Amino acid sequence: MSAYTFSSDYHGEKVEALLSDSSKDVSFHSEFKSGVNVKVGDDLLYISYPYFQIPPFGLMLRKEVMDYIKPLFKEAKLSFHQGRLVIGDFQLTIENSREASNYIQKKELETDFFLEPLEVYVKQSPLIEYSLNENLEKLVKELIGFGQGLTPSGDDFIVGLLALNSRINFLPSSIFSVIEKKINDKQTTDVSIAYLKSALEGQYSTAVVEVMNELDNPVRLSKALELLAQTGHTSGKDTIYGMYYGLTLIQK
Amino acid sequence: MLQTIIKKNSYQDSVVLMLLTSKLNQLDEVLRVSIMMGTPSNIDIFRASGFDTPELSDASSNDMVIMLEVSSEDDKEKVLSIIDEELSSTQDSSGEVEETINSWAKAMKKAPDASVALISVPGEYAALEIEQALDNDLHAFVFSDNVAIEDERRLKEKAHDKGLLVMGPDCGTGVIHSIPLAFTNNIRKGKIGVIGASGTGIQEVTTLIHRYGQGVTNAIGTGGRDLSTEVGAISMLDSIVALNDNPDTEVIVVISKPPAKEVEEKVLNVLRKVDKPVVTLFLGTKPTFHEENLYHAYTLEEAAQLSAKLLAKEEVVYTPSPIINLENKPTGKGIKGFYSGGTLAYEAAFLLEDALGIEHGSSPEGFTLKTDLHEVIDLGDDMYTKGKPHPMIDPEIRINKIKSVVEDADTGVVVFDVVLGYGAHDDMASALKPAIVEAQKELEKQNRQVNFVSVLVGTDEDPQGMDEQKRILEEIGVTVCENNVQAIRTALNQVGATLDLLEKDVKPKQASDLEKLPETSAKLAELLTEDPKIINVGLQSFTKSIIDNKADVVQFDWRPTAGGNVKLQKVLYFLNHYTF
Repeated sequence: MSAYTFSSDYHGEKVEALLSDSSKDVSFHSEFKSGVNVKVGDDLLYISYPYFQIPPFGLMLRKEVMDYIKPLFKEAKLSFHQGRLVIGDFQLTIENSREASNYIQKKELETDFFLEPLEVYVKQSPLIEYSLNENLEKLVKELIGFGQGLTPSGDDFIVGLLALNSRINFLPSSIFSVIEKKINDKQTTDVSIAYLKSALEGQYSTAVVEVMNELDNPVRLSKALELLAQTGHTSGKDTIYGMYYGLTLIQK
Repeated sequence: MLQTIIKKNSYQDSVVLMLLTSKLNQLDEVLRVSIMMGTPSNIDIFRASGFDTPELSDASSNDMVIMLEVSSEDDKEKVLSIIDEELSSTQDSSGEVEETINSWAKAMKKAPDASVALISVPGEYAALEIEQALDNDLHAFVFSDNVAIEDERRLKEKAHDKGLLVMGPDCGTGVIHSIPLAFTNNIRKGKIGVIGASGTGIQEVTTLIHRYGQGVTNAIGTGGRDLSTEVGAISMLDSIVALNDNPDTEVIVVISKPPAKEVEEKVLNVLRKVDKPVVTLFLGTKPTFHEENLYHAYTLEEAAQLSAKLLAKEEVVYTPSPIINLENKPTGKGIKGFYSGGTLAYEAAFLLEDALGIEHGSSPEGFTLKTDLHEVIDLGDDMYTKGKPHPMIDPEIRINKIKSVVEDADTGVVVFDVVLGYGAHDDMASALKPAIVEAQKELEKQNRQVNFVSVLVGTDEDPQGMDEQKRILEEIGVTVCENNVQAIRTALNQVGATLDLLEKDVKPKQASDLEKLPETSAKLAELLTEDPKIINVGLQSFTKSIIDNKADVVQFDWRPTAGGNVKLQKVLYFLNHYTF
C-alpha cells in the first residue's frame, strides 16, 4: 500500500525551486487551522488544503490528506529528498500537481468602473479608521508591520499596492528599496515577509492575481473580489484596500 | 496596572486572537487588552496608546504580544491562566513530551521485552529495518511494500532459522493474540486462527466470523508473495504449524490466491498432517469436494461460515446469504465493481467470471475484470494510488468512478465496498454519499435506473460505528450487503444471471507424506499466546489500535539514515555488524 507519498494538487511558482534546494535547513514554523508553514532557509513554504487561493510559496493538498499529515509536522523530522519534502515517514511531492500562475498580466486599464465594487470591501478593512500618509514612501514605512494578525493589515495593504503596480506601473522606484530594507531588518512577521518578498518579485497569491487580471470585467471582478475578501480574517480586505488606494492615486 | 505577556515565536490565527481579545474584554478584572504581533510598528502603537512597559523592548516581529491592564495584582494570575488555557486549547499537540526514540538501541532499551516490530517505513528502506528487527530477536509485521522478492526470501529464511516470523511485506492486516495491527477491525477474541496472504481477505473473513458470534485467536498475514515459488510459503507453513500447536486455537482457516502447483502441494501436505479442522480457500479455484477435517471453500463467506460451523459443531454446509430483491430493475445490464479492497475485487471478478462464463485472466492492466459490459477495479492498485493515499483512506478516486456512471448508459448495478476498522477513513459512507446522490439525480434526468449495492466490511466494535455507516448508505437508497458474495449475487440477479454454488461431498483426507510436523519455536509459540509488545517503526497512527486494546507499544521515530541513501545505509549496516 502506498500510504507514504502524497502529491499536492496545486502549487505556487516558487515551490519547485524551494523543494529542490536540499542544502537549506527545513523546520516547522507555525501551524494554523487549515495548514502549516515550514521554514526553508529564509523562506517559507505554506502547506494547506486548496482553499481558494494559492500563494507563490503554497502547496495545496486535499483536506483529507492535510488532516492526515498535519499533526506530524510539529514532531517529525523534516528534510528534502530528491525534490520531495520528507515529513517523518511521509513524502510530499508535486509530481502530480498543477502549477498555479502567480503572475499578473501587465495591461493598461480600459475602464474605471472597478472602484465601486472594491469600495464595498475597503470599508471592512480596519485600516479605514486611520488617515493615511499622502507621501507614499512615508506611508509604506509606517504601514509595514502595522496592525493585527500574522500578516499585519499594513503589510496586506502594501501587497495590494504592489499588485496594482504589477498590472500598471505607477509606484516610484524608491518605494521598493524602502520595503526591501524593512524586510531585511525583519520589521514584520515571517509570514508577511514571505508575501512581501514574493510581491517584490512580481508573484502573488492566485486570488490577488485574479482580481488584478479581471479589473475590467465587472462580472468576473466581483467573483474574484469575493474570493479575495475571504482570505484570512481581514487580510483580503486590507489587500483590496491597498489596490483601491493605488487606483485612486492613479486617477488623480 | 499594566501587564505585558510576550509569547516567543507564537503564531495564532487572527480568529483565535480575536476570540481571545473579546473573551478577555468581557472579564471584570480586565480594563483594557490589546494583542498584536510585536513588529516595530505595532510596538509604536502600543506605546502611543499608553501600553508602555520595559518588557515591550524584548518583543520581536515574530512574537505575540499581549498587553493587559488589570485592576489589581491578584487578578493578574487569574487572567494569565485564562490566556494559557485559551491558547493551549487551540494547539493540536497531545501534551506529554517523551524522549524521541530514533534508533534500534534506544527502542530496545525502552522496551527490552518487545516481541514484535511493526514496520511501515517506505518500501525502499524496509528490508534493512526488517533485518534489524530480526537481529534484535523480534518478529516482524511488515506493512511496507515494494521490498525486493530476493530480500523477502532471504529475510524469511533468516527469521525461520531464528524461530521468528516475518508477516508481510505488504501485510495490511493482522490480529496477534487479539490485538489488531495496521488496517484491521476489532474482532472478538475466540478460537479460530486465520492465516492469509491477503489483507482484505482476512478482514472479510474475520469480521464475518465476528458477526457469526465467534472470534479469532490470531489472524496472521503472510504478505501476497509468500506462496510464490521464490519464497516457498515460509511464513505460511510456520504459521500453520504454530496455530496447530496453539492451545487456544480450535479451527484454522488458510486464505490465499492460488499458489504455484508445487507450493500448493507443499502447503496441503502440511495441512493434511494437522490435527485440527482446517478450512482452505484458494481464491478463484472452485473446489468440487471437501476432505475429512480439511474443507475447501470457494468464497470468503464460505470460509468464514464453515469455520464458525466447525467450531459450533454444526453441520458443515455452506448456506450463502440470500439474494436481496430490489424493486426497481436497472435500465442497463452492466455490473461495475469499484473496490478499495484488493481481495474483495478479486473475489468479485472470479464470481462474475464464473456466473457469466467470462474467460479468466483476459482483462487489461488496471482492471481486475473488464468486458464490454462489466468491470471490476481494485482502486487500491498502485496504478490508481500513485501519489495518492489508499482509497480506504481517501474517497476521491471512488467519487470520480461513481460520478462516471452517469456517462455510461450500459451500467445497471454499481457494487462497492466500505471497509471499516483501524487505519480506514472515519466516515466513508458520508464521504461517498454526495457523489451517489448527485449521480442518482443525473440518472433520474436521463430516465435511467442504476442500483447501488455495497459491502460493509466491519464489526460493531469498529471505531466508525457499523450501524451508522449502514444507516447513512441505506438512507440514500444503497443496498447494504452482509458480505461480498451476497453483493455479487444480488447484482447478478439484477441483470438476470445466477451464480452456481456447488454442494460438496466430504471425501477421505488424502495422505500426507510427512512423518510428523516440524516443531513450533518457543518464540513463535509465545507470539500466539501472549499480548505482543510492539515497537512501531514508522506510521505513528498504527499505535492507536494497539493502545486502544491496552497492549504495549513504543514509537520508533524512524527516518532515513545516511541522508536516505539506501546503498550507503547498507554499507553502514554491514560495518556495524562486521565482526573483526
